[in-house]
Formats: sequence, C-alpha cells, structure tokens
Amino acid sequence: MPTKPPLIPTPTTFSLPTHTEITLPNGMTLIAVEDTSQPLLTMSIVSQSGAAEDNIAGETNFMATLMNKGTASPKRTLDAQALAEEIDFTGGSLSVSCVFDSLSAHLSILSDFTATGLDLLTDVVQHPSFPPEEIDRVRQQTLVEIEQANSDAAYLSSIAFTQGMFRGEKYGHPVVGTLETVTNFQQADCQRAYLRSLQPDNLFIAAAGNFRAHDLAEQIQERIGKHQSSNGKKTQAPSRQVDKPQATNVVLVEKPDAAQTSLRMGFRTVNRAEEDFIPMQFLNTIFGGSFISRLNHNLREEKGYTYGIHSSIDARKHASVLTVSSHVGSDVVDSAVSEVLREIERLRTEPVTDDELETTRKYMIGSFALRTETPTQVVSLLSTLELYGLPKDYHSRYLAELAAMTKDRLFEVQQRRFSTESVVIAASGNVEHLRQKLRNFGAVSVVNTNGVTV
Amino acid sequence: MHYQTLDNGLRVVVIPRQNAPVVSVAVTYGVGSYSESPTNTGFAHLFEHLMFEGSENVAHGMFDKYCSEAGGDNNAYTTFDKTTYYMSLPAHQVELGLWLEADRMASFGVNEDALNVQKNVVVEEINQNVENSPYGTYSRVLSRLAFAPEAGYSWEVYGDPKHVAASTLQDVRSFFTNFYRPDNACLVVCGDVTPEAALPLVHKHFGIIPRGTLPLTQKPFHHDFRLGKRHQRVQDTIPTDSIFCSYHFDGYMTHEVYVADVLCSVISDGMSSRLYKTLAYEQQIASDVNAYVDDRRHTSLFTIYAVSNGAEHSCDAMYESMWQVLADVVQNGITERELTKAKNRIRTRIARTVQRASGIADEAAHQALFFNDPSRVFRLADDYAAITAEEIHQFAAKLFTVDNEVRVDFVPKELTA
Repeated sequence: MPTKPPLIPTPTTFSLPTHTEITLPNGMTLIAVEDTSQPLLTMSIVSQSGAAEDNIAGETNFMATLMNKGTASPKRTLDAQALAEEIDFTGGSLSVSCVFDSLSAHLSILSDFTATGLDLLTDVVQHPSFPPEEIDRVRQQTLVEIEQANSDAAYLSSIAFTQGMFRGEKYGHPVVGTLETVTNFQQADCQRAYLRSLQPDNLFIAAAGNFRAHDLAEQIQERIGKHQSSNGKKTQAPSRQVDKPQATNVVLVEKPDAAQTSLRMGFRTVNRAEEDFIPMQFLNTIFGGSFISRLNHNLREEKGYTYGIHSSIDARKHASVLTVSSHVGSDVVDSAVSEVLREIERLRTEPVTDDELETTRKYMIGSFALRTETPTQVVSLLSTLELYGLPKDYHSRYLAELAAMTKDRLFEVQQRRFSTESVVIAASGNVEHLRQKLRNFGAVSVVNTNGVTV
Repeated sequence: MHYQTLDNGLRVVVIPRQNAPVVSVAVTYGVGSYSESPTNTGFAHLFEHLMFEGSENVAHGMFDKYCSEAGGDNNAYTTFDKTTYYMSLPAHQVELGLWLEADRMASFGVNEDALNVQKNVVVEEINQNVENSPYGTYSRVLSRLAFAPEAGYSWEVYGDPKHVAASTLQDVRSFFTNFYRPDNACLVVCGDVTPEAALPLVHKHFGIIPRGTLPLTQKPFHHDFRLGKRHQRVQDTIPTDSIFCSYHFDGYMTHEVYVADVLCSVISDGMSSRLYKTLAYEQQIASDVNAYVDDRRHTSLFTIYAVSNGAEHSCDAMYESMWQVLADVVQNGITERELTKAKNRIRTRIARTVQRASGIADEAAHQALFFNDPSRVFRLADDYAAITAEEIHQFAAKLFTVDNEVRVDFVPKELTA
C-alpha cells in the first residue's frame, strides 16, 4: 500500500454551472438554473426586506408564517386547509420563512406539478388573506414555539449573544418576536408588514430544476405580472451602520439544570462588499471555520473540552459578526473562553504559517465544487449576490483572490480585524456558577429569555 | 452501476454520474450499537470517533488535513446496525479518498492519549445532545422501555457515558478485529468517475487488506424481545407536555418497511395529513404533531409524537385524540387520494436524495450491505408504487394496538421552591 497520500494538484479555476438571468416585464429579476437530471422544481420568491425592518419585534416572521394560511385572489379563494391539501397532494412543499435581511416564499415540487405549484406560490405572495382564525392558531403555535426554544441551551445563549452584540439596534430582537409582542399581533399588523416587505420593488425570483428558463419566465409573468410598482423605481432602505459594543463584556442567561454550558463569543467584522471580506473568510477558516481549524484542534482534539467548536461570519446588510459557538463542560468554561481569546490574540500578533496558508487555499478552492453540486445550491449562491448587491463575477473573483492570497495580505488584515478588546462572551447555564467563572473577562450582565436585562 | 465482491469479501459499488465534478466515497461497516456488550454501551459510536485518530500512514490529525487539502469534506455516523464513513471530494481527488479509507481499514491504530481525548469529546457530545437537550433522553428511555434487557436495542446508540469513559485500548483492538474488516464492509464510489478508472484504484488500495479471521456473528433477535403495553412518564426542563407513542413492526429486511413509510406519510406529512388536521388544526391541542419510521435491521418502530399547544392540554388528551385518528385508519383504511398523495411525497423525497452523489452513495452502501443488491437504489420508487390501500389498511390494523404500544410522556419538571 502506498505510504504517501495520492494528492493531485487542485486547479485554481472553476466556473459556476450555466445559469440564466431574465428581467420579467414587471421588472423583477428571475435567476434560473436548468437541470433535467431529476423531475424537480425549486423556486423562491425573495423579498429583500426581512425581520431587521420590524416595527414590532417578530411581525415579519409572524406575517410570513400566515402567508400560506389562506389566499383570496380575483380568481379564487383558498382557506388554509384547501391550500395545504393542494400542495400536499403533489408531494411538494410551500412555505414562507424570514431571517433578518430577507423573506423567502419557497416552493419545492415535482416538475409534473409545475403549474399547480406556480399558481399556489404566486397566490401566496400576491394575495394572502390573513384570516383572523388563522392568526389565532398561528399565534398560539408561535407562543409554544418560543417557550420550547427557551428551554434549549443553544437558543438561550444566542439570545444573550444578540443582546451583547446588538442591544437596542436593528438586529437586537429575536426574529420570532417575544411572548409579549406575539400575544398582541392582529390582522392590521400582518397587512402592514406585508405591504412593507412584499412590495414588488423588493422582490426577485430564483429557480432551479427541470424547466426551460424562458418558458418558466413566461409562466411566472402570466401569474405575477400585475405585481408591479407604480413608479418602477427600486426604493432600497438606506444602509445604516449599527453601533459596535464598546468593550469586552459577558452576558449570561439562566438555563435550569444545565449539564453543560452553551457558549457563544464574537466580535464585529467586515461586510460582504468590503475589500477585507475574502481575506477574513480565509482567516475564519483557519481560526474556527473548518474541522481542522485552530479552535477545533485546540479545544476538541487537544483538550477534549467539547464535542466541537466552530466559527462563522454572519454577514448581514447592516453589520457583520464573527461568531464562535460551542457547548463546553461547565467546569472548564473559563479555560475554554481563555483559549478562544488566546487564539484571537495569536491571530492579531502572529502571521499564519505557510502550511496553513496552503492548506486553507487548497481547501477553499477545492471545496467550491462541492458547494455547487446541485442546481439548488448554485441558485442559492446566486441569490446571495442579488440580495447583497454583489457583482455578477463575484465567484470568479473570489477564486482568483484565494489563489493569489499571501501571508502579508492576511497579516495586514489580522492586525486590523482581530482584537480581544470588544468581544461579546455569552453563555447559558447556571448563572451564579458562570458569573464566578467568567467575571474576570469583562463586565457581567444577566438577561432573561426575552433578552431583557435583569 | 458496477458491483463486485473482492477476494477479501469487500463489496464494491461504482456508480458513475456526470452531473457535477464531484465524487463521494462511502464505506459502511456492518456494525453498530446492536453488537455492543450491555456493559460497554456507546462503544460503536466512540469507535467511530477513533477511526479519525490515526493509522499506519496517516498520523494523528492528518486524516482531516489530507481531506481538506483535496478540497474535501468528510464525516461519519453510527446507528444501531451500521457505521458509515463518507467523504465528498472534487472528482479528480478520488484516489485520495480511497487511500484514506483503505489505510484505516488496513492499519487503524490509536494510542492511549488519543483514546482519552476522544472519550472526553464523546462524553461532551452526549452532554450536549442527550443530557442538556430538551427531550434528549427520549431515545434512552424508549430503548429501555421497548425492548427486553437482553436485546441489543435496549440501549441507545450514544450509550451510557460511564461505559464510554471506562473503555480501554483492549476493547478498541478487539472491536476492530471483530468488526472492521473487508468482509463486513461495503465501499461505494459515486460521482464523476468511470468504473474503468475507479476499479484499478480500488484493487490497488483495498485488494491487499486481508479478510477477517474470526467468524462474523450477529446476536440473535427474537420477537419476544419486543415489549408492548408500556408507559412511562419523564420529567424534563420543558414548558409543556409532549407525548411519544411507538409501535413495533418488522425490520428493514422486509417489505413492511415500505408499507410503514407510506402509512407514515398518510397520517403525518403536511398540514393536510390526518394527525395534523385533527390535533393541531381542528382541536388545537397540539402545536406540532408528526410521525416517523425508525427502521432497524431486526425490528423497527413506528413513532408518533405530539407537542402540547399550551399547559391546559395534557398528554392524556393528546393520546386520546391521536387514538381517534389511528382507530379510524384501523377501522376504515385510507383513501386512494391519500395513497397517491403519499406516493407523490415519497417520489419527491427520492428525487431529492439522488440529486447528490453522497445521497446515492449512502443508500447504495445500505442496499449492498444488507440486501447484497445496490441497484435497489434505483428501484425504490417501484417498490413504493406497487403498494395498495388495502395493504396499508391491513398493516395499520396489525400495527396500532395497545398491546404493541410503547408510550413515553414528557412533562415539565415540577419546580422545587
């Protein structure tokens, strides 16, 4: 048996599979990836206005959940069960979900049922009726969902983290809302959130599967062509930078009977459109973004503190955060926090090694093929470009930049972008125990499950 | 598709697919927690972790590094009956995947330090997913309740953290010798590669690994290990009641599993399904209700669960409503429309699975290992298509009885003042 790994040099260029972009007569963009290998269609109608634009915490999410619970178009009226019966019969699914920066009505269906699927999807997007009895049903289910989430250690630490990072800002509330806000939502709140989020200028369409793009565009236009703004101009909400936390601080939330500490740490970082974004993704891969990262090697493979520790860059429209997440033994939580801070400091002060540079370069370029295996994956990458206003050649630039990355370029970014000075350290568990363990890292505050300081 | 068995007993499947420049390499071993000793539970899963810790030509820490340098991703999972290692790679790196898998099949080795670290890691994994997770202990409770202590299914895959912590290097060596051998494994290569290119590489790397020497044994399973008419209440840190009801039926070597899958879809898939419509939509006593087929080699479970829609709705109330739905199916069967709907749902699921090389590889390894026929992957839709409403009716009548039922109630922990 050969004793050396049979590694083949990785080509540095990949091209995204062919896709088509069509502007519909009503002004909406359709991004389409054709694929005849399976009889499937996935399609999303995406709004660029999500939960970050909430006037009342949770309103966009609440409204989104109701969009497929009843429609009234000039042609037909469907109640929640009729709608469900129609989509369920095809074996497909139709759901509407929202995150901070977007809302997405998503259809996944066998392509034999394309016409049925498009009818339902476009009805849901244009003519939701928000029936009062469905509002009451969804309200009760959402309240239970929030209570259930509040018994989950990871969800609780994310609440605490959000408070440390965004208190009082656009991203400072849970997407799903709170027990108080959800209790009070009425039909008028849904209609208002709908008019704000689903206005035609905010929308684009992404589709992948077994179709011809131009035929699909026609079918969509027939159904949604009248959903068009009066002036035809895009009115983007102005981008606004969200204030950073001023100093490293600790935010705790009680989790009764915790057998472990759910830990989240992070700091503000670059936005997608900034020059440092790709180098930061490179650095994050070394820091905690892959299984062989420094954090996972140190805290899992060397110390056995955790089943796993991972970091990622959550790049939103108005603020980006590099977040580290893990679950660690409660007795070693202070050591775990120290180690994470030490790894941040090490990146600030020392260049990465040649080996790290090369391994990470090969990994990020090579794994691009895996990220574009299915048409749905490809269309999702393209949607991200549309959502964040990135240039169409972003991915070829991304690969070229990875290929040309140097230690000097990285180190310059490391010195500017890695710092232990304003890190948010959030944890769920026994608050008194955690306070003793973590008090030396920064000012400690305690929040309840609504994120309110107690 | 190409299928053959090497001289050392290794089953090899190559499935060429030109959709994308990627390849999936999967190795499934026919061993899971079912084969553990009752005093060393959780060992198969611990062993899965150890397989990444080093072999003759791949030093500690290098497995993932080599894979990453090739642009690949890998992971593994352990079930009651099998352990699967899978890797996705850019297609031109297929040989690296084969070499990595072959090296650890041939010469796996782990030292005391690596064992100790992984014992800690696994105990933290159990803390995270079992002890510290809402409903995390469900599977543990169910295993004890549903099976006689002598059955290999009477403990869950994670096992007892105390057993994990007490595992020794000797346990590791004998488990490897007993189970991690070519004649207890199946290798699948699926993706942008031809059999002409892949097979010589498979022979080169795996062909020289010797067949196991000890006889391969499976613990016997008897039907009377299945216990019914069981009920337990568990207190947990959760806000409202939740109920889980499981029903025994045959293992996945039989046609019953397909019938169960269709029945499951009829009663639980989507908002228009019977359970959702009754419990969540009309009566509004559950905020969520669902069912799934927990299929295993020797015997399987059909499980329904419901989460209460507020403190005033108890497990007993949900149980009663659930049984209204089940009794109707038992008495009157299902409609042709429901059958078509369930089949559409399953067709959609299969089409999604075979979109990815890794999805095909996983399923093909399963079919090759347990049925000696990987081509079943591409016939799954036909197996489902042949199922009739009458078959479903008969199966439901046999399945849904109180004597065959294992019920677990999760209720909020009573607060101590």
